[in-house]
Amino acid sequence: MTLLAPRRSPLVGESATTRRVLLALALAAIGLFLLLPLATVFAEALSKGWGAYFEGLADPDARAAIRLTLLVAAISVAVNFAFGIAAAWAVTKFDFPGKSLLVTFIDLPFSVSPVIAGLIYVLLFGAHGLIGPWLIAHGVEVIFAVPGIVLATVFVTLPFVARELIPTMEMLGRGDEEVARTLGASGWQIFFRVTLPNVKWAALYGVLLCNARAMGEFGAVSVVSGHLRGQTDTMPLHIEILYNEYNFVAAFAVASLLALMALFTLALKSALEAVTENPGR
Amino acid sequence: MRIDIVNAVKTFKGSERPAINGIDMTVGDGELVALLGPSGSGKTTLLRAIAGLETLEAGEIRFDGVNVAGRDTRDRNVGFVFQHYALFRTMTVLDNVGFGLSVRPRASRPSKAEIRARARELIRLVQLEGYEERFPAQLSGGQRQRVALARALAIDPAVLLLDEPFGALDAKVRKDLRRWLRELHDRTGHTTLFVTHDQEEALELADRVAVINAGRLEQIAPPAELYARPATPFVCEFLGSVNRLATPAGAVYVRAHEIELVPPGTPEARAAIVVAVRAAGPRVHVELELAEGGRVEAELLAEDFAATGFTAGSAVGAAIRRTHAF
Repeated sequence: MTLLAPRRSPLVGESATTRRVLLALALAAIGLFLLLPLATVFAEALSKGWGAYFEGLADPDARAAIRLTLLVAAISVAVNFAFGIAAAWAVTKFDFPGKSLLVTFIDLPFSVSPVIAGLIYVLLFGAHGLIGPWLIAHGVEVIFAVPGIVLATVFVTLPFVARELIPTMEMLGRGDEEVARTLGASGWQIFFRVTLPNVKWAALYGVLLCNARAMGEFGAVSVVSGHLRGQTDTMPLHIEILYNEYNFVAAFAVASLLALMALFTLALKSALEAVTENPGR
Repeated sequence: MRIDIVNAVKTFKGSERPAINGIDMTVGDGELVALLGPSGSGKTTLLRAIAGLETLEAGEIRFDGVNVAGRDTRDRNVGFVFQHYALFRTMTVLDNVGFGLSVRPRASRPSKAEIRARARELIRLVQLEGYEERFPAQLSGGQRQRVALARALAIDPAVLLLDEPFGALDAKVRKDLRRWLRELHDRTGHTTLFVTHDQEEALELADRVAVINAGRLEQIAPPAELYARPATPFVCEFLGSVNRLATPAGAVYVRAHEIELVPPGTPEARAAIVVAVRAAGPRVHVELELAEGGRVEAELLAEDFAATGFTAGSAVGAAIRRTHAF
């Protein structure tokens, strides 16, 4: 297909100078605020050569942090996906009292500071919290342990999939599901063969955003983690510790890996957008 | 299969007026019946209730004499075609048509090859050979409608329910599909109910037309009878253009084409003045001011009007050939 629209639409008052100034400003901002810091991360990480770089990554504590981050991200994505589908399904396919309240609550984690999210869990599950003492008595540790980190991350990332799915599913309506029902499909068949394929791109998009946020979350996790090296340090926390210890090469090595993971997610997201914009998908 | 609708009532939450309010009617085995009415009259709600997509609050729907109240949509074996087709956008035409067979319980599910063969057969029936591997987005409105119909026919439904099947199509395609649907029905013999707000469509296509207004059945009759002997003022006004005349005995209704223009002073004709003349293709709408008061519209062939020699401002006689009183 060829694009018939002209590359530059004639905007009112647009002169060559205006265009050049705007373009220069945009490029300068991107360069200064995005590319330069990113480049600095990699430059700093490699400042003592590849040997020191890999040494930083091979450190047992660093590897534990990488593993923990991947684990937390994987759990968050899975929980988020399940919750997002359930919430979006409930909101768009049924009418029930309190529906608008549910929609409002889905957005809560976006409006609450992550630090508060962390504190909520400390208040609930901490040694002096509401249900913490009972849990600790039964041998379940949440705060300063992996479950707390997972909970805090899940809280912070909860809206991502649901928020992608709700508008998509609202736009699609109930017609497809109803017609599948008349054709004799069961609830599960409708879900897996009709609904899920219809929203797969939106769901995947939400999952990628959720994944990016889960890997990078600092505030909420910082409150509940307790910073036990090799045990409850995620990558962002580990980077901070290394940095505070003036271990710049190791700090930036882990940071560069985290940045690479984020860039990879971003690339996937762009690829996804290219696919979904193609009408013959 | 025969469908009996017995005193069906349905009120939507938050609405004071019932969407359907005590409808009684029967659709005979193999019959093609139109549900005709203005938008919001409850005809789609009735169709959805037959499919089990809405639950009645009172009354019954019986399939061959058996109340289906407790039967879920998926067990009713109805072929439902939605106004906007609701084709599965992620599936090819072939998979769309085969869907109903592919979701059957394992014991009664045909093999993959059999499903494909049956789907191909139906695609041929709706004249879409060569489009099997296309996606819905790559089809025109009329083609999508036919895929939706083939998909509904694939489950060998006991009844075919069509909700404004041609509503979203342009006039030419509507006409073609209408004729085609009639032929298809005559060939397959499915008991069919279709919803429309287009009187021409209903009168041309259906064996019987059920006129629905404000949740109630006004009349159900074959098209010719409906037109010749409307049972209520609503039916009379809804079909064709109608004049309402006040008489000492109450209101009577006169169809526009049942007013003839004659020279002024003709016995039995009412004195009138031609107020306006509007040409609409082969026909002319002539607006008349009656000497006794009130305006009526007459409709006649353009050449007939030209032969009378009347123009706007002429004094004429309006001979009323036929009236309907209730």
